[in-house]
Amino acid sequence: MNTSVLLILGIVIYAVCYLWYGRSLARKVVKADDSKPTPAHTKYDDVDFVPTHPAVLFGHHFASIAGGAPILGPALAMAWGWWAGLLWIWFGNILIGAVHDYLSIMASVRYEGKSIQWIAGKMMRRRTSYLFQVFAYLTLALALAAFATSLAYLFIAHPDVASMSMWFIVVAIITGFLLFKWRINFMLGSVIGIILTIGAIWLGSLAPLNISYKGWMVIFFVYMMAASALPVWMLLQPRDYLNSFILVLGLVAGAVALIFAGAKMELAGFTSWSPNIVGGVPSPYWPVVPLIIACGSLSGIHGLIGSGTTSKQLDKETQGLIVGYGGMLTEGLLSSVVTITIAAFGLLVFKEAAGKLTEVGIVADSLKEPLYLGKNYVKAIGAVGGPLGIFTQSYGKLIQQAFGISAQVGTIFSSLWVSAFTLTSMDTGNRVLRFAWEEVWEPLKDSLGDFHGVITNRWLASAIPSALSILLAWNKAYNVLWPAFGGANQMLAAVTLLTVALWVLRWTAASKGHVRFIMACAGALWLTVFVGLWWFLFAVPSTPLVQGFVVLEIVLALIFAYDFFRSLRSTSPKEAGFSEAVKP
Amino acid sequence: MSHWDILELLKTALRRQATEYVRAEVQALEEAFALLLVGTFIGLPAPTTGLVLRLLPHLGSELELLERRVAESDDLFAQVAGILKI
Amino acid sequence: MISSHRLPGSSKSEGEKTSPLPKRFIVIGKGGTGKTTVSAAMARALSSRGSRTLVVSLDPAHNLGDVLGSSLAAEPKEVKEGLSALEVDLDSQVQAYVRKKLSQMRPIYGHLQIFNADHFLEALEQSPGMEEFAMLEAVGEIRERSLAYDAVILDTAPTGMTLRMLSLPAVTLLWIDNLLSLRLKILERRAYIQRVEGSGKLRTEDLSGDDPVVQELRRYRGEIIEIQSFLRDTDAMVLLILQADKLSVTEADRAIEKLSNGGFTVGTCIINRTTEGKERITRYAVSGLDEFIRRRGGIRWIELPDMGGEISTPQGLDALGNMIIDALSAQQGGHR
Repeated sequence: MNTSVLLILGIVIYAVCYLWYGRSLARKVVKADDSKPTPAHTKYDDVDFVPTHPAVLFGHHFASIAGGAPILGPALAMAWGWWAGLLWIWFGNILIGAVHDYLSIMASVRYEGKSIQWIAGKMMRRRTSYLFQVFAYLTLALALAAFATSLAYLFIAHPDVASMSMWFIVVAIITGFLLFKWRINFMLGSVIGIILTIGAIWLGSLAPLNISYKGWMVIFFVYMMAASALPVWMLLQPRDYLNSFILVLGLVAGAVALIFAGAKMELAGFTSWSPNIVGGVPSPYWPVVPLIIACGSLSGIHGLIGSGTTSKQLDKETQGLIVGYGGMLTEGLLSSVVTITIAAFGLLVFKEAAGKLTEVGIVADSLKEPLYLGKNYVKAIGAVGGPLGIFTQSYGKLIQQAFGISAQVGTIFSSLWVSAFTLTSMDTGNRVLRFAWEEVWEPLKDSLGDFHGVITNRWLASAIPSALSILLAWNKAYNVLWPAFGGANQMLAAVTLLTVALWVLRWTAASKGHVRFIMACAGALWLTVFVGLWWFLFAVPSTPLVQGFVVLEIVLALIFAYDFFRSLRSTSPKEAGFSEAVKP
Repeated sequence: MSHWDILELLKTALRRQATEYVRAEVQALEEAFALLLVGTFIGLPAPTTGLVLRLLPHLGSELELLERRVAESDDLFAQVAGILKI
Repeated sequence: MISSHRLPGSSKSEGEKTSPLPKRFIVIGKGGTGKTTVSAAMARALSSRGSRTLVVSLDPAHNLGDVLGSSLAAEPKEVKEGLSALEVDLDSQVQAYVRKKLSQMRPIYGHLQIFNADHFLEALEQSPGMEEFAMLEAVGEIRERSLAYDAVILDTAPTGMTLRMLSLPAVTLLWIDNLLSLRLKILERRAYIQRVEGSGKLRTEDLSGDDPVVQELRRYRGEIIEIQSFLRDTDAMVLLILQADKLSVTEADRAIEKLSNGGFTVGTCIINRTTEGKERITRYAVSGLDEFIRRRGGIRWIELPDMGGEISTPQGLDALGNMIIDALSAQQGGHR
């Protein structure tokens, strides 16, 4: 089995299932009908509701859902072996993840562009909408913490990457000024930005930044506060713009390289059922894999993003499939590229870092052996820059093998890729986190009295959320934070999927078979995550804060299940508190 | 699809990428502006009444904007979440 | 330096011509201190000396007409040769202004059906600050009329309302500047989006040139600054009237403080209805006026006697007026 065959296999599986399962969803469940005007038309306001060309919308949606997560998760999940990872990335995506994304967009389209959070609130209980809020908050807070930790690991192992990332911030700011203040022609400005980016890469290698872990934590905290206080034209917008070039290039180059290289898979396809991943303890494939591979296979946040903005811009109902379902599959492709790359070249990276590995008691050559890999993978990557580090270096080797370019180039480029996206996640995440923080405390205003006033005080409300994330990240355990993030994210996905399942059941005249299948997948997902959370609580050593979050998630998951079943049993929409005015 | 179409689409997509965040930001700024001026009629402390009165004839779109915002006010978070990149 | 009516003052002996008096007088003071009387007296004296004078009452109590012995209206009425007077009717000012604005708005807002016009109308008229706003608008109108006169005297409303009115321009300017800056930020971003996504080189200036809100804000800004100059320039003078009693002195003190915070300097204070000899000394001490005078070193003082019943006669008014004008001229001369 080599990389070409594997990637092509993945592409074929995705394509076939898109055409077969995806289309049957569109035809028999959603019953996408182009004669039904979408909210982009019925509520057109040229601001939020604007019909958009499907290709442009696809690009926008894909760019929104593809951050650093589809890279981090699979890189961590390599501990189970690449077959294990790919199976979940492929079939989890096709049967659950892409379905989740697609149906949440379409449900939103049928509800005049209302978000899945709002729909859940109407279909079940008002507190269900609040549940979404809390899960979203937890997802964000933990994601930021996990990103901060992973990025710090990358920066510590590769100080030149750290330096380059900081220079890239400067480049982004200059580009922002070029395009916004100095009003340079757009094309010219873009080209200058790209050239400057290359300059940043070069500068990075000149003066590497050596800073301690705690130092990076402080820097990231300050960065989050400062970046989200700037006007968007100055940093966030130009960086995101430049990032999109990097993303496309990275994905396309990676896929093409894998197909050309035809490299052998050096690391194991299956290691063991329970390798040491989360918190260093044996982590059973079921129920833990969804907690590790989130974006790329299934992600609850996508439902909010899709039903929050994408659905309002859909021109025709039938276009939802390529945007929603197709978009998620494309992200799955990205994760496949990550997995296969590490599988084929990770061992080489480990061998080259044999010295560092022996320092932590690992024999690089033994990593070829499945069981050994399972036990020591996470510890091993810790020595080469964490999950981000193993990916970037494997990517470098891939580019070298496929195109004959020095491995440095590929590594540097992909490092810029992951760090740029991670930093953007931290910036946007912090902004949304501030809002989510206040939303979470809002319904508790009366019962909390003065405490509420303190917590939502303007200065505290902007500092606390990011401070919490950094606090979480303080103890360096990305292999604890990431699955905690996964838990919140996937429970959000389960809640979303159950909501759309309810919608499908009640409001679409879908075939019984489909409905049952979707319901079953949704239920299975809920159960999986639920068990996963319990497992996390009892098997994984972690800080009281994280455990507190997990307990909260378990409680909310139960409340949701209860509300869901009550909703299920009530036959009339009115009984479920459903207002006539919002019949889709 | 013709060669030109793809190029056009690409250019559109690229330009969209370069303005997405600024769009979201200007929306927020416009809402702030509208609230500052018109919020007086829902009891918010406001510019001197006289100032509001003088600007009122020109604020048609601000009022519509606020009206829309009020209609969507029960579903804000997901829209906000649209700027995320995770 | 106190100049009393008994001492034309050595300060006058410089020998040059009397320096030009201020063109505009803003007479403020606690109710009952004699604002209207002083305003009317000054107006009569100035017009007798050849200045075409306009005296305006902003006081809702409408006493000016009584003192001048002529019923007044919102339009200037010639009370004697070279002297015109008017009383601002705040209520009808407010009403007229609100109605005008609403009728401008109706074609735009009718379809929104947010406003029930009658209730809205009433509500706006009662808005906090409407009276002060109407007063300021009235001052704006007076500013325009003042071009036809050599001197303008404003007999103001009781101190509280007047202080609020006087602070209105500065507060409004703050708001205008804030709103302008936010609006320009918005336009800057819209220009960027249009530049990148659409046609050509749109610049913020192009957009702001067309934006009615920006135009209106800038226009209003200009008007406010004009009113501010009218009230604050070197040829405008704030005259604070007080008496030798505790309440009057305390209020005067606070007023000077507030005014200086707002950029107004009180150049001259008039101590009205002073007595003589021992009574004067005691009164000044007990009311805190001595202390006040000591502390406020930079202010010039004019003492006026209690004219008793005589003040209701035109002659008494003229006499008072002449005292005031002479004292003011002396002080102006002395300060050259």
